[in-house]
Amino acid sequence: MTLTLENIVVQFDHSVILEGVSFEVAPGEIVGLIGQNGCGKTTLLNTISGFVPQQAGSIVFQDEDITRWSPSQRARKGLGRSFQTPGVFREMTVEENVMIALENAEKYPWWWRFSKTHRHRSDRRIQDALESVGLEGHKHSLAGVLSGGQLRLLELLRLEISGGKLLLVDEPTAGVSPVMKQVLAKTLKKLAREKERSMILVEHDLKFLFELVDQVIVLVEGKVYMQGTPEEVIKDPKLKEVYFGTTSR
Amino acid sequence: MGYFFTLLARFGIVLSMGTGMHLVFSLGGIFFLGMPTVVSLTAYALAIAEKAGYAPLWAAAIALLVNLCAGLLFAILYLRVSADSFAVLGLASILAFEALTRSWSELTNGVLGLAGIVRPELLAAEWSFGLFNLTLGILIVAGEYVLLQTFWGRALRALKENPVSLEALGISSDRLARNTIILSSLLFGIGSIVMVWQIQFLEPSFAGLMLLIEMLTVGILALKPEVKRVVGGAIFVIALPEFLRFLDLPVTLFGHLRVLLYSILLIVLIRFLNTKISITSRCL
Repeated sequence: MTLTLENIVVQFDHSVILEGVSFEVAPGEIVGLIGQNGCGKTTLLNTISGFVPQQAGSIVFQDEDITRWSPSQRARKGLGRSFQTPGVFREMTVEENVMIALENAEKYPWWWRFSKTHRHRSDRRIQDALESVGLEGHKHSLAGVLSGGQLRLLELLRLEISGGKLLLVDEPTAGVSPVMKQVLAKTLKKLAREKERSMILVEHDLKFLFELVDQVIVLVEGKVYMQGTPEEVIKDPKLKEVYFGTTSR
Repeated sequence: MGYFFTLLARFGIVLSMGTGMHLVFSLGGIFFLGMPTVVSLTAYALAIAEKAGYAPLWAAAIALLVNLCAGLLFAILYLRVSADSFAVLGLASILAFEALTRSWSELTNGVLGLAGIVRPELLAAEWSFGLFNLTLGILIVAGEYVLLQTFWGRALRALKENPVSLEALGISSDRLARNTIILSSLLFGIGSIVMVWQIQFLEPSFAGLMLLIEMLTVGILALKPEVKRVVGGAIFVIALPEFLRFLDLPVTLFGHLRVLLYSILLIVLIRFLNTKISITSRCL
């Protein structure tokens, strides 16, 4: 398995946010995480990526227990993360945003980075990467001037370059136009399918989500309510009630 | 000519310390307000080593070693406490160190200070000392220029803007902040050694709030990742009080006016600042 979560418990003060969450993600699998606002979806992603400590449970990623690892150690191991508010560096240019991910992913000695050959190759890679998502025209613009959808694309591009084995993607379509949603869906599919990466996707647009994922996990009040294929989940008679919060279990 | 070489020497000192402040404060967003403590500690290490009989260059090497320890200590503190507490601790350390140097008179000669600190023979003449400082300043600025073009420079800028996102990319923000504090401490230390060599006298108020205000002014004037702004900031900080020299003011008033001028300037700069100066997180 790429990721195994066992009995994760997260508490803030005295309120329990996640209670005994357990599931597995197989290599190349895309898992959708759905639930009402405040059910613990983002907290779960933050816990997996190490930004929120859990009170109990264990996280095993690629056969290694990463429960006590720092966020940067987990990222170096191959856990990529995108945020609800795109985590791009807005005061840096689009090119610099890609460059920082590229340089971090490369394992060259520092002096090699000053060589002309390396600079030429890097420039080519950055150009190709930007062209793949249609951002080549914004190469020298500050990332802060990009639209919401373009910021998402840039963040996904950085994830791709970072070479993560499991991507945690939080609400990629929030505040994005329908046209851009299609572009994002295409990019996410490419990210997962072509590179055989696993992905955990938090998304409120169920139509968008069900087209992408292999498995869906429904979170209710910090617990796994159900888990199955999109077809199985959609057939569940209680899903609507649980999802829109009209009744409890 | 003497006045010109004095200014040149001061330019090198301000460039060195200003580059340190640019890295840690302007780019990294770390409120390293304990910089006068590092400067003072390095200066005392140099002076005490010289008084103990070490040649100026050996004394400078000892002072840099002490400086490294001070930088490490501040870096550890930064990782242990919140950013706000680190700023307060830094300020408190200035007063604490000054009190220590005043009271430990067996070692520091208290308020009377340590006189007769000599510089290396090669730098004994004012012109050679002035040119040395200018060269040193230019080398430091050139080094920073190269640094800013590297991955490390980009990561440092990213640290200020979004440390959470930086961690998510696999870059340890703690390690980056620690190295930045140590590097800037080293630059403060280099500036400190040269400053002691310039005035050849050391007393407890050698590096205090005035120095901090001056360096913060350079830091705020150079908030963008461009070394030319550090050079501009250094020129501005040196030139601003110079016009006071040409006014026929009593010596006692001159010092107060200088502090007042810089303080007002800092308030004005912060009032019209349109860029954030500390680390903030947009995510989580």
